[in-house]
Amino acid sequence: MSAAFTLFMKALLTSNVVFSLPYGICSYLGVSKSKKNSIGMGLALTFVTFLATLICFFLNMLLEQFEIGYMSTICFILVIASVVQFVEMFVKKFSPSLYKALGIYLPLITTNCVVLYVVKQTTDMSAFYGSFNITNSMGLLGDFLFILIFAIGTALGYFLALYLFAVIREKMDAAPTPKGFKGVAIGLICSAIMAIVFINGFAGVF
Amino acid sequence: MKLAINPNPYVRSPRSTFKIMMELLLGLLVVWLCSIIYYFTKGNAKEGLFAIINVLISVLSCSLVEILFFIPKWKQEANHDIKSLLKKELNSFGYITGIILALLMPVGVAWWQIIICSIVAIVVGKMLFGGFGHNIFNPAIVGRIFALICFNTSFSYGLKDFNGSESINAGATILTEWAGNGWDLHAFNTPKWDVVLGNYAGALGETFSIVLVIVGIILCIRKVIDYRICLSYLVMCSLSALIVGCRTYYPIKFMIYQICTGGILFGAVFCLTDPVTSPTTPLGKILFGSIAGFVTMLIRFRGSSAEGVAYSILTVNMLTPLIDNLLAGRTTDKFKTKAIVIGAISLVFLLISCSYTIGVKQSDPDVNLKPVSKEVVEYHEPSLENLEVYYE
Amino acid sequence: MEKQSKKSIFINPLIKENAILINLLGMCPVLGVTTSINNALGMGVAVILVLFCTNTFISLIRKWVPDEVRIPVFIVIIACFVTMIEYLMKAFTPDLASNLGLFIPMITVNCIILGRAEAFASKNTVVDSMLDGLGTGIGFLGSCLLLAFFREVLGTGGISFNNPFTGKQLFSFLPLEAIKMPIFVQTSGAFMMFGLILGVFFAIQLKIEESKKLKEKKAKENLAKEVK
Repeated sequence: MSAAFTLFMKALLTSNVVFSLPYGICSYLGVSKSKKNSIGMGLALTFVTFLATLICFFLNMLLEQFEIGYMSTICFILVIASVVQFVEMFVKKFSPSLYKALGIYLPLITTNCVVLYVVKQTTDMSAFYGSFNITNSMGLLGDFLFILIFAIGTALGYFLALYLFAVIREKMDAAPTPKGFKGVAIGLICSAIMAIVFINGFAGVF
Repeated sequence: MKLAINPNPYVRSPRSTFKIMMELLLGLLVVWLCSIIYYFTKGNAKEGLFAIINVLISVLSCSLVEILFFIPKWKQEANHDIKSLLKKELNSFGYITGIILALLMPVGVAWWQIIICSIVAIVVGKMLFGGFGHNIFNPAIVGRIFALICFNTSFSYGLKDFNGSESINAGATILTEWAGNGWDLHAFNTPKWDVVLGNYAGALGETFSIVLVIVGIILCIRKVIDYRICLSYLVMCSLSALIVGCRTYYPIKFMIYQICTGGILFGAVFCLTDPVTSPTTPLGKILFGSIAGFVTMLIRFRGSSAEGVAYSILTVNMLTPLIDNLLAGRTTDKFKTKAIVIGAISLVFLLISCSYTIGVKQSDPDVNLKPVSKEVVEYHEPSLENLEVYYE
Repeated sequence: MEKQSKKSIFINPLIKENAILINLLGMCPVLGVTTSINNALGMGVAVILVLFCTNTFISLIRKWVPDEVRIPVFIVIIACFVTMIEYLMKAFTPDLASNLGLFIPMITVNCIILGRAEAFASKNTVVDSMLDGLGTGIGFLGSCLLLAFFREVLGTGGISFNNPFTGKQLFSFLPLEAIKMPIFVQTSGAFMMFGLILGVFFAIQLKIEESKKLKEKKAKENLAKEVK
């Protein structure tokens, strides 16, 4: 139980996917221009990550049964693309305003490094346990639960980073930054200090 | 209707920003004077000289870097003489960042380290964001954290160690030693009046608790800094320390030691209260202080880093735009709503701080908390008669 | 669409339309991989190979791919080539592959490769696409090396280079080791350095554009004066 909580908090803060091993920077810098888009993107990403991890966990077991583990990248990418397509149809049908607001960001989740990073962890569970310092005592069920908690924690960590950055960016865009630095460059420098807070500040807490 | 958009801090009194900052500078100079006196009397002349030189180097490099940033715009103005450039620099308060940065560093920091840290603090922490009034993070804290990550192993916190011996544990402070001993009060060898007065090795300005409290109270009365931030921060820190201290048999003593060591008082008076990086609404300020206090104690008791105060200041600076967004423009004049919000959040924080007691050693109530005597223990040569004791 | 000369197809992506510094695409691996020049070089070479292969292949089959399924088809082709290169690297350069870790499979979702495939390779001839792939890849390598140079010099005090196939150190030149700042080897230093480089780059760009505009204005004024 405490291992699950530790894993969740680590994925959220100390090993935040945007700040510690940087993945998902393109959309992080692009979507954070407006707060509304950030919320939509974050929620969509969480949903897609959860579904994709669910499917890819079993797909990975199947691939390893037939000893074609090297096909994992290709199969995972196809799974992610189809999940994104499915979520897009779902959102279009049930909430057209949200679909209009998200615009091109929904198909962009296909090329988002975060989702592929999370599903790739299913291929090498021992390395995953090693990097987060967990011991699994529940066998396959433990694998499944830990990887799901990791998926949700990572996606929520991305959401948190994105939303905080969007709020700060709103304030920064109104300030008289030097000419070359407006927009992306000052955003990167602000992210540097945020990265120090998330990674070094909370190191060892969980 | 013409709307005037000015950067914060917004001042309503006839006093200008310049006068407020000058009073803050006076408070900083008082603390600096204390550190100079301490290092000249208790340390040797070299340390005292370093206490002076560090601050001077820091102030000079911060001001020079800011002046470099002002030169392009100054050249385009009608009258460019040195006076107008210096006036720009005076109104941009880079030297205050310089003196705060130097007071946060220990006395054993090298001159080139100070210069690099002040360049990073001013360029990355302030000027690239748009100058005075537009920075998101406190620039002095940015410089301090940079020094912590890059140069910490080469610091020395004073040429004499806490126990009076000449050896230095590089990068160790009195707080890391205390943490390493499981927060055991018996291992805390500095007598209590020394802790409160500042008679121990730490960063340049952090150790003088009584002086900092007096300066803080004066600045709050003069309305230079906001009392809400100071008070909520100190209350949250004290309550957390009290809860953890209940595991030992001297909770009040534990609490006072916790508050007086490390950068809590200095951070509360000079760093957290920066009006540019803190929220504008009163409820926002109280939340700001409480969250900072919670994060300080979390990092101190559960984390592996020594500078809980600096990281917590950066964390709440990051959350300030969010707090402003949620609360600005809303009239929360109702005392009941405010009290409920603050009470609920504080309760959650204090409940979490009960978990900090896991790492704390329970003190033995019978033993008196006296400092370990500094007498040298006599060395007995092992003689043939005593050898029988060792061989059963 | 006017035909670009072969030379401009190759030269453009190097500086004028550099994928990372100007178009700001595909930044994910740049920040994670540039901890040292070794890793940057390895990643850059891998990206060049992938770009070259995918551009060529997609340009070969561009006439037979139906329009609706072209994005998934491109993604599958890219994934195949990336998997091949990943296992080649694991076999021949194991140290480099373990240093780069998950960044090699991440080339699959790199915006640059999909972007070039979509915008160029699906519409142009094979030779043009090959040149474009090479040019974009070399531009990517160049910007990675720039960032890695600064990060390694400031973070470890100098440059050290390993043989990618055997992992042994070839040389290491550490003149600034006394004032090294380890933050630049971490991710926050990567953000800071990249932000500074981008900012300086954009500032220089803006200045060049301003001086160009001033020159044009002056030329027009001179012309007007002469006419008078």
